[in-house]
Amino acid sequence: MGTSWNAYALLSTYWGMYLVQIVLHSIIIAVLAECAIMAWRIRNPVSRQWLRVMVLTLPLVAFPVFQLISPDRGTIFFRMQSLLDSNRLLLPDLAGTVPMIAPLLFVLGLSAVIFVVQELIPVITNLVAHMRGAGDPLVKEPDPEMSLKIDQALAGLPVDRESIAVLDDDDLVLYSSTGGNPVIYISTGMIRQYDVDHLEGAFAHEVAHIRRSRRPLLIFAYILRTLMFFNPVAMIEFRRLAQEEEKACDDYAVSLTGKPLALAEAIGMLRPVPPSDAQEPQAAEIALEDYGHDILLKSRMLRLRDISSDISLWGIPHLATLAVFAGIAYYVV
Amino acid sequence: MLNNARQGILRGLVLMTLFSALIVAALGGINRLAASIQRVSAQPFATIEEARRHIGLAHITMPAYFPEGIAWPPSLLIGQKKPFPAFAMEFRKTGGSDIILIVAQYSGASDARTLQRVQLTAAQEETAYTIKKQPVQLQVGRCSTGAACSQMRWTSNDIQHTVLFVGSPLELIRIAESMIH
Repeated sequence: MGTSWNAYALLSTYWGMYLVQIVLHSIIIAVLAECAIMAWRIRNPVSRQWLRVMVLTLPLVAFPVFQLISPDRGTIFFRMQSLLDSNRLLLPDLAGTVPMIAPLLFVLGLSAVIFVVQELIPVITNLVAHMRGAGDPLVKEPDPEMSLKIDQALAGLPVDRESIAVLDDDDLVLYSSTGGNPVIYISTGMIRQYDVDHLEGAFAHEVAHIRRSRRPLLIFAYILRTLMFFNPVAMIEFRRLAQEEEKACDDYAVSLTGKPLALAEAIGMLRPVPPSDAQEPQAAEIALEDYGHDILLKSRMLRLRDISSDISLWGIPHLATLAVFAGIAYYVV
Repeated sequence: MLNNARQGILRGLVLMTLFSALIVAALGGINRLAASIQRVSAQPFATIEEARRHIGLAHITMPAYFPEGIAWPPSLLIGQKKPFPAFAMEFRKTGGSDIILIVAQYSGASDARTLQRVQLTAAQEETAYTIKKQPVQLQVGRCSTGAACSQMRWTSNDIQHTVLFVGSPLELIRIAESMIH
């Protein structure tokens, strides 16, 4: 009874209700976003991204707006008429002792730990390393064969040769920095392995990242995700948003080069090689990460091999999703 | 091309409506299932006897006196077993929809104001005295509806009693007197 009462007291506060409703509303809008993607067969990654942004935005905004419209949403009388009363789910005792809110708090705590370990610390570490100028050593003068390949790949792209920095690394490495003076970093290993068409696709993909970073949707999404550090749905949706960003950049790259198959091949060469029997078995965490990375690369390859555009939808799926969410979430307390 | 777009949008709208209906049904199902497994939140009751059985309050005290203009039976009987046993009755004006009287009872030191749809929000006068040797507290002020109202509270056998009346404090005292033995 004591524990249950404490849980009741917690869930009756404004912040307790806000926390629970963020999670419930996140699940609802995430399911609705998937339904919209299925209903309208949305393939365009930018269109999908806006749905994911809705998943990150609406749960934060919905509760305060709903409370403003109807301050008695937390009362028993409203709950009795509601579609889903979270108290019915969270207050019952497990085996007569622990209220159901305990497993929820455990999941939220675990999510917060994953956020700190996998997302916050790497971002800070990279930022510090970037400020210190640490990283792979740069090749000042690439050999003439490499320089020729780079020049040929850049021929039709809106990027200067000065914006390309070559890293002394045999692995396949490609990334770009954004900001006032964006730079595309590419490894010697990648220049050797890729042919000119592959390199053109790879550079065009990075140009897309640089261009798209001027409208920093991902930074906005990251701020929302940080605000919901405890929310596992926000974690999943933010990752999917980042994956859609890669696909959006693929589309942009193809619009520059007109060579989807070359880009698909270039992506295929990035897929992790499965360890042979003679090699040490991978740690489960690394194997899982590689597997996730491989799935993304594979789906990007398949998209590029079967490229098609969506019919014009005039934002109707987004408006419909918003309307349905507002109608349902208002009655989920 | 335009026809394709229109058809695509319409097909999407139909599917989205279908998906939304499924989501609503699923949420409603979960809500009912949760309520049937373990009842923790308040629920309405049809009769006082049914409420007594479910809630576990030793006894539910009813006023023997009702001022004129109060409709019988109560318009709402609401109660909960957990997190603490509590019960409230709402009475409306005869021929009207305004709540005029609320009689609430709950156990322990908890506060069951959540069961009161109308609450005393601004007490302008507080008086403590006794009715049939029972110490009571009378508050006169304004309710959450904005109307002038009065409230009387007392504790007997570990049960907290609250009677809120939208009307004269004298009538409230008579109601309370009919409940205290």
